Amino acid sequence: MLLASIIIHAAQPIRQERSAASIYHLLQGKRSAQTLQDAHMYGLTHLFGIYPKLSRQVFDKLAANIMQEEGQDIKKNMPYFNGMAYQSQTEPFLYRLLLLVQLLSNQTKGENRYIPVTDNPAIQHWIKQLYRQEQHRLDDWRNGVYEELYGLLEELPQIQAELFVDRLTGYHHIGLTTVQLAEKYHVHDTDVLLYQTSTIHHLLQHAETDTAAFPHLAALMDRPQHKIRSITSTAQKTRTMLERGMSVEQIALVRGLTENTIKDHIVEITWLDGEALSSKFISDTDAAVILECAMQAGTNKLKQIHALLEGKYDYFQIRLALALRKEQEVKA
Amino acid sequence: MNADLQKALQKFYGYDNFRTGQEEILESVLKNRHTLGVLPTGTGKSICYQLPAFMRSGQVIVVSPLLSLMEDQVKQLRARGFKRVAALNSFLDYEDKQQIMRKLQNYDLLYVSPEMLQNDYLINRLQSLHIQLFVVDEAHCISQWGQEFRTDYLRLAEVIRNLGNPPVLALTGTATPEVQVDIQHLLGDLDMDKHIYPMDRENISYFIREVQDQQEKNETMLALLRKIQAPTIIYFSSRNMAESTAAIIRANMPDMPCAYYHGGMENEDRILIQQQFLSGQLQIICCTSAFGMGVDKEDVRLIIHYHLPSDKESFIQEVGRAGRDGEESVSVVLYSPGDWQIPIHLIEQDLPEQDSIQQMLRFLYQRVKAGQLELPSYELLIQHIPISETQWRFLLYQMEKHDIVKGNHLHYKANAWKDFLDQIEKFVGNRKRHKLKQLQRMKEWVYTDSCRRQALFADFQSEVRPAKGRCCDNCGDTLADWQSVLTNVQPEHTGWREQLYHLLQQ
Repeated sequence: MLLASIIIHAAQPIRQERSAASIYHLLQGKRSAQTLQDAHMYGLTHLFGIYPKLSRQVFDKLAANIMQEEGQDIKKNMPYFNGMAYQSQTEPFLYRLLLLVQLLSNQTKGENRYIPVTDNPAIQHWIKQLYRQEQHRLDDWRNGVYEELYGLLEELPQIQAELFVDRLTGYHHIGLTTVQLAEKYHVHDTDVLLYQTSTIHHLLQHAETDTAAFPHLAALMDRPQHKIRSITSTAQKTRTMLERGMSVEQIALVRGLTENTIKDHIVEITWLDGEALSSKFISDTDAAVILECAMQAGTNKLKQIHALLEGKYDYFQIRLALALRKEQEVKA
Repeated sequence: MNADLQKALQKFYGYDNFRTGQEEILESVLKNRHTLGVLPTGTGKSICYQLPAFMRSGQVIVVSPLLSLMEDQVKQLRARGFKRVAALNSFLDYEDKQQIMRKLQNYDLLYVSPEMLQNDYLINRLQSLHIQLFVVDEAHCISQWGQEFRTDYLRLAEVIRNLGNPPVLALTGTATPEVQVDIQHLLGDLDMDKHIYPMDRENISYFIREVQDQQEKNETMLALLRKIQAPTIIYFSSRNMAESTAAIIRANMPDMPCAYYHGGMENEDRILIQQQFLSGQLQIICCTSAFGMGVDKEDVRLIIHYHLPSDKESFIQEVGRAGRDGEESVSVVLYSPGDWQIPIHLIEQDLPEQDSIQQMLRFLYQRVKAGQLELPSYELLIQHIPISETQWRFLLYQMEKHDIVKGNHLHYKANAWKDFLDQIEKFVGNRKRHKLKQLQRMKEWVYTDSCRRQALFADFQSEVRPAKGRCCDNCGDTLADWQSVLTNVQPEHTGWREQLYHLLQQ
């Protein structure tokens, strides 16, 4: 049983000094200073929060024996986990992926009537937004998700790939529940969930570190927190439209805003995202010229820079360049 | 056929023809007449109020006690692209409720649970709308002689008056003539057009297998499943039994995909199991009465009752989920003499005990004496008195009727409280006797020697139609010559690679 092995594994370093309950809190992902400290101190960060729904009863029953005896640690065959990095994203990512696969599979058959696999309004909303932005290239998404999943599942043990794919719902094919999966593959209910978490962590890890190779899965991840929090939703809308290839003029027209407002959005986004967006409006060399000028004059005043450069660059470009400098400083 | 209606049916549902009764009820509704419709389960009652919502301006309000049915219908309508629909019930958190209530005009079709209608703010908001139709679904709940009495429903007459008497459509699948009269009376003596359709189904036959113990029950069940080999629902009165029996079936019949379903499962799992059954991935469902509402599967061939429900109405509804496509289908009751203990126990549980009523009154009296006139919350009460929330709502309604509770406050008058105690005990006694009588009727049906079809429906309709195929065991029919037609079981995909390809690349 995988859960038992994980508890044994966690118990090795922790047993002498901490109670069994500390392992429970660790697996369950309790956000307390003590649990976080345990995770770091005993080198168990990868197990943090890998099983939020773990029942205390189930745990206590298993742990009672384990904490007393020296168990066999099966570290070698332990599935991949990176709880500390991914525990908060695991569930949203899983359900986005499940709903997206359902959407893509049905959509390609022209089927619009199906009951979504999750009732969670936040997930449904998220996928709806994605659909709105991407509806003209759903075939790319379908092929992309297929190839990325195929490649990454290949790297996993057979059982994990089987459990994962059998969970998926699509056109005229409904995924299995946890209990059904446990029955079909002769594993314990708890282990179905643990393997699933491991699979998701595996997907997340590759999507995060190699976004270029797994762009579709990466798009299902949460953007880093600070970006989401600090970009206003109106600027976010502008970003989405720019990414779809619309010009500043077009966006202003469609949204009934002035071009200057749209440019404000672009500057706002550049402060947070760097050159991802600004490169369309200012080249590296131009930005370097402006920054050089600003540095020599020891000023951030737009009017002054504008005058020193003899009106060669407009205020928008100067603001972009300054926003980029902020980016470079943070990097350094 | 009314051409507009038919066009609308085609447009919104893709059907060419109405099922029995739908068109007549719709015509009455579209003339803004108060209407009572008694339509057997499975004939699509919801079309009778959904079509007006699609076709005409103004809001349609649907009161339903079945929260999960509400949710299902909203989901299905949304899946079909009809977005101007919402459900207001206790499943929603405060924020979502407020949001819907603020924007009521955005919905053409609004499902509401009866207890939500006690909310003054909601009534206030509803008054500002143009309500084209007020629907009372499962209208039999208003009568204490109906199979499931809801005290909340007794307040509907007042709600209807407060909303300025919009046209009312009362719908039910099961109502004896006695209950029909009650519905009309308790909704405010409305002058209603009645459309009553027979509940009997010509394509379902009835069999009872008496067994001595659980082992024999299981063996009989397995033999039956092997014989019929078609989409099957098996009803249980306990979650545990549904689960354990599903495991027995899977172990004995690995080729017949089988799962269990009950109200204790996670919502996501419930969706999956329902959808698996609809899509044909599952052949057999072991379930409690929580399964079936809103599950419109045409080709269910066999309904087994591993346990019997406690009244004939529930039984008829559960059996009515078979053979909606008109093909011959079968109901089999597996019955052993000890089975009657379970429903008796459930009836006892449903209504408050005399002891708890007295305890509750004593508790309230002490609060009054201490100057605490505010009504305690259920959460507080439950710490002192062992009653269920249903029991508490029932008692609350009764106390309001006796002027012991006004608004949110207790009013103490020694005589009134004493009268209340006497009357409520009498009332609870009557309800229990009524329920036991219903159970007795169910029992008589099991033991009858005469035609089961006649005996089952005689209470509900003057004439029972003859069966199209087999009738029942008492009429000498058997299942010995049943020809099982194997439904196409989906091709089994071997391995995850093929399956992933099938999902996304085929």
